[in-house]
Amino acid sequence: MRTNNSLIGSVASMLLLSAFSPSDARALEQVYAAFEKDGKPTMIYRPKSTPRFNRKYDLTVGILPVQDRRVMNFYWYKDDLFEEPIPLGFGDILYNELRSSQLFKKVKRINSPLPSNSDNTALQAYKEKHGVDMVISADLVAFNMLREKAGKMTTGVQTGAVVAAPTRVMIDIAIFAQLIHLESGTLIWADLVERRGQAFALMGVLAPEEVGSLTRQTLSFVFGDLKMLLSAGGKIMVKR
Amino acid sequence: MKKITLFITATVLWALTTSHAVQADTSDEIKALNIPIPYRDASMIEGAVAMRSAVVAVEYADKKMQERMFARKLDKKFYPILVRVTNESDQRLLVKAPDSSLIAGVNEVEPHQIHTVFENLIKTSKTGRAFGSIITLGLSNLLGGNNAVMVKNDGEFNEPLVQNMYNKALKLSIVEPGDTLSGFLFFDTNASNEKKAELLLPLQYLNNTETFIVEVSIL
Repeated sequence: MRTNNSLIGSVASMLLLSAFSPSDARALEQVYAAFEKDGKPTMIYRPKSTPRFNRKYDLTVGILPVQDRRVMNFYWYKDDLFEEPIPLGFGDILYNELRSSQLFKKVKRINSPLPSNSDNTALQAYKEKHGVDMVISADLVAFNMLREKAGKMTTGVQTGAVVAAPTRVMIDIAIFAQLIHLESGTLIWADLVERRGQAFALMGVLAPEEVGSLTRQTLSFVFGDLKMLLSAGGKIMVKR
Repeated sequence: MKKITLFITATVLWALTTSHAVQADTSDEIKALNIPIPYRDASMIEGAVAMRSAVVAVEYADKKMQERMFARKLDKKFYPILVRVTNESDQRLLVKAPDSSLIAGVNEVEPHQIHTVFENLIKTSKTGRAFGSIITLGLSNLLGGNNAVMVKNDGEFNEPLVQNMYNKALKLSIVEPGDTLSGFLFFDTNASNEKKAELLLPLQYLNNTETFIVEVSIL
């Protein structure tokens, strides 16, 4: 009977130990909980007014819905750490940036995708229906937060306090965009722009608004590059 | 006899509650993070397929490669394959990796997003925590909010694994003329049961809007 009791006791202690043991899943949940508690940051920012661009295309461009082509959600399997759903937020930023850049005569948002059969007749019909000369199709390739520990967690000798390792937080953003002229079916410009924003979190975890600020800063660099490439590269339209 | 039964039960319960789903040591994960995918031109790989000056080679990442690249075996739940694309044209080539698929028997399957791959590999101990929560009348959950516990939990975060898989996954990418792109795709392990499997990889040259699909058998 005594043996049975001791065995039951050892089973219970093992379960107890497991209950208190740390786990990746729990650690993830506590990062996520901070976003729930402090409020989710926004991705949207005011586009920079400099540098000024000359009008490149005296035409109306339509922005197609941004396609999510990422290999991973924003942070592990969590993807709702921002106020806006991510592809929708990207669509808003693309619209704001292109409008303020003045690279095109007019910028419109279009909700329907390009016809799957992209022959000239179908593209012409699409052009007539939406009143645009060109479309920008954008694929979201990366929008991810990664972390890297720079050292180890330490425990104070006298106080026994646990001190987190300094952590490098990285925001990876990459977007592939292509500009298509509908009447000719020509690919005018296409490129991939990518940037990595970094910050150090001394206590291991960045506050949600710090993540938001780093994200918005990195986004503004990505879209700055995109506008620069659009302005400098791509085919030139000539009126006949 | 009773003692043996109880001992076995205790061992099984202990294994269940503390099992960390094929855990690897974090230092091994960091080592793996620093090992790049070996550079090979796709045309050097057996079974490579050339189409419109794009060469695509696909190989199953065997246990040895899985251990070397990710410091763990993945093939219990996933079918990892290494894809290489060499651009032999004078145009930039877009590899539409997220639109790829695998034909295995009569089924066509899409690659897993990598968070679903490592979600199955990280420590969960959910069963243990649930039991513990009952035994301690919820005390263990209350302790979870303690700052020291939170910092300790964070110290357990397996970031090298996440970063390694993220770096080595095949993404939508541009291959410059003459260059080679390499990366892993992770399919469901059921795909490996079929005798013949074929990868369909959509590509696009960036001088027009046309997408073409290359079909490559997996060796």
